[in-house]
Amino acid sequence: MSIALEHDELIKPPKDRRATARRVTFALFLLLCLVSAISLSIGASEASLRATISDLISGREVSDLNRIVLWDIRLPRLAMGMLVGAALAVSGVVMQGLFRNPLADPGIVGVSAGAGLGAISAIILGSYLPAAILSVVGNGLVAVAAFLGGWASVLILYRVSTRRGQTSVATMLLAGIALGALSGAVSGVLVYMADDQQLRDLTFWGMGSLAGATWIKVVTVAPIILIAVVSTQFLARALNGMAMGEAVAHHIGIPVQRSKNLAILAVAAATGAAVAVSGGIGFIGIVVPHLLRLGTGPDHHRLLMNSALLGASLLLCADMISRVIVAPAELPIGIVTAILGTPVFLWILLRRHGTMGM
Amino acid sequence: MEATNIRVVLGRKEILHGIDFKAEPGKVTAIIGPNGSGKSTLLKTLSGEITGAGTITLNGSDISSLQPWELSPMRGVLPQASSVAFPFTVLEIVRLGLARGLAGADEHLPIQALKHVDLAGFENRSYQELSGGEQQRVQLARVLTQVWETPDSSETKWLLLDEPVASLDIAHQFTVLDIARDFASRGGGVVVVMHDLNLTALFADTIYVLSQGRVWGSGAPSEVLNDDMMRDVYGINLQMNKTPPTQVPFVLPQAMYQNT
Repeated sequence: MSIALEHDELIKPPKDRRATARRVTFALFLLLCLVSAISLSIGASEASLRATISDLISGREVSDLNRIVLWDIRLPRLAMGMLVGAALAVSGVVMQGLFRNPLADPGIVGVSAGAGLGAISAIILGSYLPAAILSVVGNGLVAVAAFLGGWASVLILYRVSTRRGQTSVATMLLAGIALGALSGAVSGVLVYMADDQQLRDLTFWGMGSLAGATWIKVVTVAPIILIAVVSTQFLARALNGMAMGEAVAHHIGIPVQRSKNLAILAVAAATGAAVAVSGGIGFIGIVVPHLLRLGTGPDHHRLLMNSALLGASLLLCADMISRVIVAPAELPIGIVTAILGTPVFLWILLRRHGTMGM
Repeated sequence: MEATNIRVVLGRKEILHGIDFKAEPGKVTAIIGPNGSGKSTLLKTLSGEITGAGTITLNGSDISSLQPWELSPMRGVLPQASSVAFPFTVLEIVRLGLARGLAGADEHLPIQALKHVDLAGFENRSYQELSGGEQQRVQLARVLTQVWETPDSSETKWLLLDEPVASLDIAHQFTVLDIARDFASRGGGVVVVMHDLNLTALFADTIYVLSQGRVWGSGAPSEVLNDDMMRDVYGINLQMNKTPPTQVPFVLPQAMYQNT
């Protein structure tokens, strides 16, 4: 049976945005290399990347200062910045695709609220723990509590919004608001109990920072974030289909419920891990995908990967600003991303208002 | 395509009360009926989007046993209206019909499909900026791409169209219904939900008339489009006429007021 028509002439495909998107991937990769090099070479200390490299090449011994500053401080911070930036940006793409809204944010699935509550509980209630447990968990307590808190809230939201195997993203959104309010209230109770030092700790946690980066933290979150980011690449066609609604996605052959499961799992893992090690860093998940969509369109096949690359670069840039602007002190990175991100967020909103009559 | 004893409950309301439905390859089967009679629900059930009680077989397999990606090469579905959340171009939307989606290498099918729905040259336009009728035709091109993609298959291909001409001008109503007819004449099966009785009479081989979730009657246009149907199903006294040479039924709304 010949359902398709014979093609009457050799059809030349018109130009499209896929080739541009491929070139953008390459350009973003170069950008990330460049930003990484700059990030390694600047900072409050006198340590020099160039001297270290020339020492390494000529076989001379690297000075202690250079070794400690570069290997123990700047390099783990660089790795963590890349991981967190990629995780937040890719989570943003996936959430926006799932909720069919360019202003959706990883925070929507309740990760941020839950993680925040976990972190605050750890900071304030941690001192009540027996010394034996404290010595084992140590400095990682806040990170572990934030990760668990983030996960717990995702599981609750997911459970609430799933009926007979069908997850309603709209219910999830509304339940997320309710859960956010509840964890805000519980956080309030804890803050009321806190002493001055604890208040200072949790304020800074909320503003986000990469300052606590260590190799141990990097090695702990790297597998989680990498697996999550790589697995989202398989969601590209599903997210493209869901842009037309779940029914159409089903019509074109996409296992909708399975894709939603994977998307929510990946976002919870990536954002949970990122928030656990870096605190509250906003706007990367909204700004990065939006900039890329403007340039190369909403096709998720390239958007996911390009967002990971641009998210990593952008977070490293924000981190550099936070380190340099009030040196030798540091501005929390969440403040930098918020100051840079808010105007962009408003611009997206107004632009949408102009074109689509939102 | 055969459906037996389909019952669908949405919320607390039973929408379809045991419907038997059959569509044959090479034919255009139309579903008509008043608003709320269950036409779209029946089409959604046939497409596998809604699951209800009863069995639906497509090319010999029970559709509830098929995965979405096994179902999609066999049938394309055109919904009533599709809004797209992001600024995709027309070509990007049509390419979603390809199994590999936008990453697919098959370039000629989407462009051929756009030409087919009279939208050649629209490839790089933004979908969101098109008119409703143009968007509807872009979606039809996407659906055609989907069923064209594996043409060698010996299985019958099906088009399920939910009011495909609702937002179209009269010329493009013919464009789209000619595509449906042409698809059927090539051996495919077409199931189409329609409102316009005159176009249905002209293009359909078989008509199912739905009324309050039940099949009121079915058969060739000349059998089911009659005065009884107008009165029982739509509740109006409007006479069916027949065009002189070919005896195709038609109804003239003006008659509603001339008779009284």
